Amino acid sequence: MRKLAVKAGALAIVGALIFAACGKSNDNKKASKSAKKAAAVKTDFGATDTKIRVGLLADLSGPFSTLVRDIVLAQQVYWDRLNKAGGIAGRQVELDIEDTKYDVPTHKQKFAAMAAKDASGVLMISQSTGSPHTASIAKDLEADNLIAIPLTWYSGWADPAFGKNVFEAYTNYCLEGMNVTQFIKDQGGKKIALVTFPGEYGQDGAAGVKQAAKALGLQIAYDGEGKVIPPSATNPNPDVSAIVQSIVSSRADWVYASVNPTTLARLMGGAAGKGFKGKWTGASPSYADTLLKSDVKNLIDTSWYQSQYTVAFGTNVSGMSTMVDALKTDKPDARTSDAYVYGWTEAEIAEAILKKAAGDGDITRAGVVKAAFELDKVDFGGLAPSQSWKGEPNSYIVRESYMFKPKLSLYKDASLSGGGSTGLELIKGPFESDLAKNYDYKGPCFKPAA
Amino acid sequence: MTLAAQVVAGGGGLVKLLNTLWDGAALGALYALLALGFVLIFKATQVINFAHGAIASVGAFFLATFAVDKRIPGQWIGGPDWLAWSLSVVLALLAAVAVGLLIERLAIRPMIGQPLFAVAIITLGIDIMLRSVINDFLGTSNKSVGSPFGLDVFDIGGVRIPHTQVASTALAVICFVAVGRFFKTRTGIAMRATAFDQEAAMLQGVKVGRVFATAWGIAAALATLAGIFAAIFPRGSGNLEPGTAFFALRAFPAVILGGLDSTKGAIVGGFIIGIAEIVAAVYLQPFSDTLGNGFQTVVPYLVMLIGLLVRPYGLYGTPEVRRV
Amino acid sequence: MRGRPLLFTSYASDAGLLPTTTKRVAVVVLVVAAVLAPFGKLPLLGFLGGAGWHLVLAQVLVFAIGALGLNILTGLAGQVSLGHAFFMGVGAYAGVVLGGTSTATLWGLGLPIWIWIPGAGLVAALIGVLVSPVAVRVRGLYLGIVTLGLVFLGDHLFRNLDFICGAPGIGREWPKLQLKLWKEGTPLFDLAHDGRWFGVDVSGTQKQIIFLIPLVVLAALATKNLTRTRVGRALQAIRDRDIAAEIMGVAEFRHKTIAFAISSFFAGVAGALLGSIIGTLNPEYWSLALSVEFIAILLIGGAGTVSGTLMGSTFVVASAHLVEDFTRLLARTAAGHSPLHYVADLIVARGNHFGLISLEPTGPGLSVYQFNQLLYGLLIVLFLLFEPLGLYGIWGRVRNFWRSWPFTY
Repeated sequence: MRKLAVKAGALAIVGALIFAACGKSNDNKKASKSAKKAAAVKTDFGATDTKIRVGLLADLSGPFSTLVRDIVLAQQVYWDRLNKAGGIAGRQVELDIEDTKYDVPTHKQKFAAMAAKDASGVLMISQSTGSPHTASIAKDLEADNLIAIPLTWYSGWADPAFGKNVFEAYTNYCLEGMNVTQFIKDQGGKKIALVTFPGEYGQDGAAGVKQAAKALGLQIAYDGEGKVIPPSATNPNPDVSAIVQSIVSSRADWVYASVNPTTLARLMGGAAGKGFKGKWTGASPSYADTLLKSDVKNLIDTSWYQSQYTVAFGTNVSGMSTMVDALKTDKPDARTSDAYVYGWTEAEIAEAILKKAAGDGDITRAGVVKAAFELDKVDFGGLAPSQSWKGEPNSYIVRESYMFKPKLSLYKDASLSGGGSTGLELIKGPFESDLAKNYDYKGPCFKPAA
Repeated sequence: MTLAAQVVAGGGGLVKLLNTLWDGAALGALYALLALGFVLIFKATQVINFAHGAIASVGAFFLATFAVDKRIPGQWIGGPDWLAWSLSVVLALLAAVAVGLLIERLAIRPMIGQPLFAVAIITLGIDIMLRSVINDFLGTSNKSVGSPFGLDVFDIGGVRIPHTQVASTALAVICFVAVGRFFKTRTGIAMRATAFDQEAAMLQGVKVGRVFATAWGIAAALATLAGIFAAIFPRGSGNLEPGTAFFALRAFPAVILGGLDSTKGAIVGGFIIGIAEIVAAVYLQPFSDTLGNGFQTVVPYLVMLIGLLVRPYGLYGTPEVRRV
Repeated sequence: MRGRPLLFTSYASDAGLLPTTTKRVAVVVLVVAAVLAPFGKLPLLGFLGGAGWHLVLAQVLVFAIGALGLNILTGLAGQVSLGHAFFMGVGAYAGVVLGGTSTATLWGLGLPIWIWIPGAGLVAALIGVLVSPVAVRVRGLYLGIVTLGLVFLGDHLFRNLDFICGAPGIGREWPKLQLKLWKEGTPLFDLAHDGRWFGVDVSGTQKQIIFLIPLVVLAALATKNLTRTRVGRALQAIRDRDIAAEIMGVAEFRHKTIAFAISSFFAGVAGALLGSIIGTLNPEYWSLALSVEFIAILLIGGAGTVSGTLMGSTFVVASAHLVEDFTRLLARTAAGHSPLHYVADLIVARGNHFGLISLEPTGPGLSVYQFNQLLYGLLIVLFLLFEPLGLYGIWGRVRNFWRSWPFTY
């Protein structure tokens, strides 16, 4: 009897799964009503008379899921509000959120589904997590006339040979490195210890720092470019004592770190344990506000200076109140996070592009691509430096970034309705160093072996 | 001078060597804790538990909940931080033991008599399940484990010894002694008998199911202790990460080197592997361009392979008696 | 003889690859179904024609080839191996060095496809032979951990050998599936780009699926054939009782090495094909999780059987996508008005209202993305708890039931 029940149960599950998959395709054949206003605009795939589909290729269960979930949440709130206000070209915007598990084949599969040449496809992709993942679809984006906003700040995305249809948001690791090195010099720093992960994230920033240090006359007391081992499933707690030792014996007064928060905590704690008293800064993703809860919270309070591509949550700029109020009303129990700014601004970019395309009467995929390249500057209300993608990369790349100071006294780990705060106080920004301002962009700072 | 002496002298002298050895021993203590848990489970139930790391992560998660979120029993007890934290640790251990017992009862007990490979893969499946649940609960806010030790270090003539490492190594040694004592109690002898021959033990009146449960419970507690100290300074950041669950995989070479069914081997193997890894990390750093960045990850496996070539069943493992 | 499928009148027909008519018909039906599936022409399974499913189908086929290799090693020869991802990685990188373009920082010889695919397999097989002196001397779970060590060694090598594997985090591009005679510019057959075959528009991925089907059939037939050859029987003897086999004259170490070599060959070919179909892969892809996926395929499908391996590959690779579609269906039902609406509403969380699974990334309930992972692990556990023989075991029970019906007791 039990075996029969098990068999029946198994068959039921399998049947349900197959039925479910069938259900999806049937849904696409449902008839849609047409609106007269909507019919005036040209469409091909990803848009019908009543809706526009925007895709998100998000890592929702992998290593960056904590960050990406907040970004997706912010986008959802944004598009919800836009839909309530009438949508775009009389159409409601529907989000197609797919989990890529930070796995390249899955990323490609979900992209292929989004690129489908029918109404189940999307019109553009407002978020693509991961450098290798975005790189793997870069050529397909061009072939399929889709654009994607990446969640990585490698300087190569602005290069048309590398990522023509990849619409990078904010500045990049290389220029950030230059800006931060200028900040270090302004703070009186003289010797820098450089520690980064290998690969495009760490080494792109390192390229910027090295160029800036040479131009500004600062000494790289320890060159640990690419020497820090990134944590992975095989090696979740790689030993950092050798790096820490090198930092301490270099007698640097500033450390520039392009790593991740866990590794940063271990580096800072280890160095402090050996008597290191210098200051720390680095690429923006090296820090997360959860470090203000960790064992190194006091160190962060005294010695870490956070570089940001956008403002932090709660910074007093004109666009902040709209965002905060929307989030507080729609998702009061969500946690407080700086990542909402990323999601909100990504959605603003996508809205600007779609509105322009609709204004030009062409929301086919090719029309959207054209509109994106011709867009005048998108203004984020101070949330991020305004930007466009018109003309030569050298003329439009964003060169400004921000410097913040994390403060334990400002940090409150609570939900949005509970008045949480990520603890970042604006020091300077948006600012660009002279080196970044005069930098002649001809291609990525760090050329990977590809 | 011998090569070793040259390396030591050229590379920063005695202080550096002592620092390295201490760091290696502290890491080795953690590996030994994990290896001991593996071996206990293997001895009693003949299963390789791939879910060990996930159980450690679950235990650390309980600690984060008890110590920081809900402040049990911190909110009712005054006194120094470390007292409340230690009590939270005890509670977390109990919770982890409960999880271990649950897994044993639901997934291992029904598989008695099935091929070992299948049971090992079941533990892999449980590992995936536990990790996905933990990531979901963790994912929304990296929880702090609430370590009361902070970043403090003892400084003895240039040798830096973090307080956490003293605590973790001391606790580990206490556990090793306790397990050794345990094997002399009635339950412990019953476990040794079951490990030796399940059927004969059953004939002698040993409740084999209870032995299984005990083994899994103790192993869960050991894993949790290791997981907690892997999450705080200096091995971790003080917050729980999804990576905490993978830390236990690093103890596999220790288990194999020592011998899958030897508790003494687990402890010795753990220390050997820990010290080898840190010594390689520090002293092979100048060669990292040729050997590749991160060579120390591979060193434990190389040591294990060499050990296996010399002794195919591990240093203290019992060679299998196979019937044709 | 008609109506008496299990009655064999000659040794040749008993030992045949596909001895009964049913089996032959089944193979033909499966091949036809596999060809029709990516075009959406299968009844009931028309959704497989959607663009998002093509890569899934291609991955099913490539993983089937890899899993057949692991089947030879673990199912046939009984050697527990967690190192399959390592051999796939080795094969993939051998393929890219043989067939890829060289740049200032990358090695590549640019050789044509009929060299780099077999070459990938051969290099992987060679590495398998090199590994075997250690691997054949250990047994059981010790071997499992040694092969696990291979994965870690591979992880270290792939991250550091930039000139072969590309920069960590970026990786490099694999040579496309294009048939050229030698390094000429225009290929004879181009499987990587969209085109028109017999008047039908086919996308690149659909072409690749059609190309993979004969490879899978070849691999499956080769594996099935192996079981009835001398080597195959030796491997099965080693799996069952290796000391007794050795006494009977089966050279244990030599045959285990052969098993490693053959299995690594399949893995290498599968790795190179995967790289080519996906386009770029980063060096961190060849991880323990990939090895575990293959073990899961083998065990869920049924270790030791070819049809079980094929079923397992389909199930494991496709299940993640099916589960996602299932939860979406639940969400639609919960929002709709059908009678099932109440059940679905209970399970799915919408907005701030509670449910077990939530389609939102945050919010109450387990997120659907973690739920998929949870289900994956749960499936492994449940299969092994209730049906250690896997899908093939279930199929066997169904078949035996109907074979002896109505006397099924």
